[in-house]
Amino acid sequence: MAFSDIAYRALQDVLGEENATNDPVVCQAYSRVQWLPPGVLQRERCGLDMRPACVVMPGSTEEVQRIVKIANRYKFPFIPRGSGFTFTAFPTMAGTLVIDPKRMNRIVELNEQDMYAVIEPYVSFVGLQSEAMKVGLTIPTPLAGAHVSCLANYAWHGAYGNSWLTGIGAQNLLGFELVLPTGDIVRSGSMACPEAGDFWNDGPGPDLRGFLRGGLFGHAGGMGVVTKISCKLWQWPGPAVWPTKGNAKMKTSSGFPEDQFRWYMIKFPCKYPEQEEMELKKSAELFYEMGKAEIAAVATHLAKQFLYTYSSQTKQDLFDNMEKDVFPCGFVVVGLQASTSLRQLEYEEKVLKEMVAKVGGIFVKEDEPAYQTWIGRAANEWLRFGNAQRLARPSDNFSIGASNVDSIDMIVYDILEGNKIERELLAGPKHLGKDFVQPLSVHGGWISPQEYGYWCLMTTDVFPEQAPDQAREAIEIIGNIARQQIKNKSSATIVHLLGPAYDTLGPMFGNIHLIMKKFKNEFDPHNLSNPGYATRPDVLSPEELQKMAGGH
Amino acid sequence: MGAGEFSTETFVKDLSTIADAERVLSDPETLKTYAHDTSLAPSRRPDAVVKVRSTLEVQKVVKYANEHGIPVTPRSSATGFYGAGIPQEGGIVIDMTLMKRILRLDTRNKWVLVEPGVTYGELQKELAKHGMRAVNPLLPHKDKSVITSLLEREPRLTPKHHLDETIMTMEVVLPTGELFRTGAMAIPASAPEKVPDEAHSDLCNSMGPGIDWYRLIPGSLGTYGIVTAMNMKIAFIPTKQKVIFFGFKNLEDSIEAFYKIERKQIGDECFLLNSSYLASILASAPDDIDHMRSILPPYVLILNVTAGEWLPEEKMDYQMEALEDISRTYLLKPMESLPGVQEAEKVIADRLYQPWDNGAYWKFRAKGASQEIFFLTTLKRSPEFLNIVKTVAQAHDYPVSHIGLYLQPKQWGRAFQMEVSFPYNPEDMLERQQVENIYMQASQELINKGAFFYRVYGPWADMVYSRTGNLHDIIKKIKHILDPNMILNPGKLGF
Ligand SMILES: Cc1cc2nc3c(=O)[nH]c(=O)nc-3n(C[C@H](O)[C@H](O)[C@H](O)COP(=O)(O)OP(=O)(O)OC[C@H]3O[C@@H](n4cnc5c(N)ncnc54)[C@H](O)[C@@H]3O)c2cc1C
Repeated sequence: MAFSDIAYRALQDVLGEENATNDPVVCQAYSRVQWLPPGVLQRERCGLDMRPACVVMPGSTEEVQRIVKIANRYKFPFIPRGSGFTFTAFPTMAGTLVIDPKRMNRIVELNEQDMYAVIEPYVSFVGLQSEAMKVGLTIPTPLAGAHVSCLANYAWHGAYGNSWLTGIGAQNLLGFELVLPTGDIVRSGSMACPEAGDFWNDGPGPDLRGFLRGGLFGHAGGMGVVTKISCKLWQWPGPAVWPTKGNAKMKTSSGFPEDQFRWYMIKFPCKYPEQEEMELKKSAELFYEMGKAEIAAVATHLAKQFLYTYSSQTKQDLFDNMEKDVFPCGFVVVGLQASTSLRQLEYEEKVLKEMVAKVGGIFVKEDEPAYQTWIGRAANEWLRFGNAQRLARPSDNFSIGASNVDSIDMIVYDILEGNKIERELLAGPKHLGKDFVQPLSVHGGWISPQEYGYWCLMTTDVFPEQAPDQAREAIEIIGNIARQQIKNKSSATIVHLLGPAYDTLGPMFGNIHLIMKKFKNEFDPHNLSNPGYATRPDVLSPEELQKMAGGH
Repeated sequence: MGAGEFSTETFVKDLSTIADAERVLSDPETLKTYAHDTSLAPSRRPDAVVKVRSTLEVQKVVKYANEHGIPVTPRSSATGFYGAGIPQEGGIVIDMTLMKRILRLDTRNKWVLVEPGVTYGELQKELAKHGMRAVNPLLPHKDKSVITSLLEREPRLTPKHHLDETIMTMEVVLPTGELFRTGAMAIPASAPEKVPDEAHSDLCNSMGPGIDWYRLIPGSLGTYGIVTAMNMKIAFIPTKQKVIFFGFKNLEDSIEAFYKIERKQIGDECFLLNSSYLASILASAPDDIDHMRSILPPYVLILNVTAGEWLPEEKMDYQMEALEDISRTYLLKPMESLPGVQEAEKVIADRLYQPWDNGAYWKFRAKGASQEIFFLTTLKRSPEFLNIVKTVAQAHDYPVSHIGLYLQPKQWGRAFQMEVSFPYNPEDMLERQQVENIYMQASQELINKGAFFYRVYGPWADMVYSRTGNLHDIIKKIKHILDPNMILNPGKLGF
């Protein structure tokens, strides 16, 4: 069976007519996937089939459960979504139901003393962060933007501009409540135990966060609908109310009180791209030292592409800054906060200065254009609202070129490899990327060390336009890099596991695709919860798989 | 075919083709030693023990067990505390205590890769040569396997957030006997320790593939897989350290200050012990414990203030200043020694990174044995839970002053593991019974009131999972996916 009028009426009965609609105009709005090449191609491939058959807005876990049960009765696919920012939240086939959580937008609990919050799916990062800051706590923010669903992000991904302390989404998630693809409800962490409170992440018994997520990405709505999570709140010594003047321009200074939070920009002057290896390696050296001393609240290395995009106020501004060579190379950005006291902040500043001197770096001065442009306009926003619009500013689109999670050293290696391949492809016979915004697209280098540098995350990004041809080109570039990463035996290959990629790469990793299919079949026997994720449940023969993975 | 159809002889003969005959044990005396541990868990004998030396042997034994439907119980520590390593339904115990290699150390990326038989004493000794240390629990038993301690999620002494999840990547023999490697270790390589040589990885990605195994497998009490190698976060040995004590008359009096110390992220190792537990550590000999208990403050918060390589004096200074601020606010007195106890600060400082090495294990010193109850709570609820424990103990005429208490902050004070213990004389059957009754009743009452029993040993499984809706169904479904023949450690976690 599939989606039908009967199913539609059943949904309306459960939710009320105002919360379930098949109005094509409304539904069309839920097919407007933006940015990211896979989304552009999805739009091309699926056309009108990307328009959901129905959109529902449940108001409670019980309503979500009833929706999922109706989907199971009539056997139609459903997709949970947060704010719908990424392509995996969009239908790939006709007759799909989209579950929009807009009515489930409550901060159920904000526990100042024990540093956690309990939230529903439509609580945004900015919403939770503002409330948390009022009581001296905060949360990290994805570059995607603080408007996205905090729950969706923690449950499925979570790369942040300020994760030196916090780690990614996986580390910020505590307990969760999940409506499984069959409609059963399960709770994990202390949330599972009545009266215990929602403060803790693992148990009782195995930690089911391991089931909800896997790797850099979770199951993208392929394992049911998360209806509630508890998440960590982090110490925030800064102001209770964000210091904004007028709109978000903040031209000259960070606006943070100096005794609470201080920004630093550090450079290792070099000629791009010839000396980028030296620049990245020295940055890595600084991170290793900082990790040893366990100082700072923010520590990240940004290549030109992030510096220019995130600090620009308009497209013109972006190109003007590039013209002026405001960021002649990549920079390390460090934030120190007074977690213990002002003296601690001053101690850390002193240590940082010694370290920078030791590794041969230079502090960028406040009157330098780079400082004024980054610290003045953008740095705070890495803590506050990410703002992916800016990332997509050069071409109204952006794509990850290379990505990986490993040691800081390996991340530097992967950035160099990624950039090298991107440059070779650009210069090669097909001139891949020649219509992208250049040279931004070949100057990747986001080193994002996590948890004091015990591990690290990276991406290099490219900027194709929002058109199928360029999207295909971007994906060809990703493919080239991924092939090299497989050849290099890089852990990036694990990072790429998502959806159909399981079948290709699974045989390399203990046949994980077959294990994942067992999970999917067990928990979603009718393949209704965002079909295609976590992994395609149609099993290829082991021989075919071996062939696809190049005989590994 | 069931285990019953095997004679011991067939069993041992078959297993002897997998491991050398002298490592396959089936004599009753040896089997008896595997039938119990230090907990109250009932004795259950295995039919055979294989002391494996390699992952391959583990795989072979597990595959053999699958072919014949024989239960397998993995065991890495020579001593168990919670009944987890006792076979519930006979079969084979895979003893991994001989797998003792420290496979690789990476001081730059701060991890060490070890086999399951490596103990804290062995590991700390090796790491110290490189200025590093393992992130260890409070005075582990000298025989405790580092890997088991992590898989059982024993709390670490440090509340530092980034050290809360210590496990990085693992090699696992799945219940079907297949080999699986998690996180970055999944990259094809000839052996876990070879990954950094043969691949482009430093084993610094704990996540995936597919599932976050580094979270799913711990806490499964050896029912989801047998871990044969693991790399884990380690830390630097401080260049400076100072142990500070705060004494309290009542547990309630410590709460606000304790919260504050954690929020301000002062120091490294930090925990609270009551006089009974602390006396068991500090007393020079067991018969000194009663006296020691009488002179100690009823509750002592212990904080190890440390500094590393960079400007250590200044780091110590700002932390001490912050502590003084807190002390002024809460009218406390930070002490650098404990009145009446010689060199308490030195004894604690010396032992923070060490296993217990002073004769009988410290928890058993008072009376020969001890039964523990532990769970997680937010700090503010700990006095309420302590009262429940005391009330139950009193109702059973157990001397309240003998109860041990240990509070361990996690994630800078977001949660606290609370442990209470009831020392008893194991030779005295009445006393043993009394403690068993207290253990059962107090556990149940604590669970009913919302103490979070996240590590579910023995009878706790039923008590906890009866209150958690579908959760047990889910973990059982996962069990069936991973272990279709239900071979691995049956009887644990309610499986
Ligand atoms: C320009 C750009 C930049 C980006 N930068 C970042 C970044 O820096 N860091 C980062 O982490 N991500 C980034 N992303 C990816 C993505 O947008 C984010 O991960 C974001 O969290 C998505 O949030 P959302 O609320 O829009 O979720 P959606 O896009 O609506 O959903 C994301 C996925 O989660 C699933 N899902 C949503 N809600 C639920 C639920 N309740 N239960 C189960 N599954 C659910 C959906 O089905 C979907 O597969 C970026 C994307 C773009 C386009």
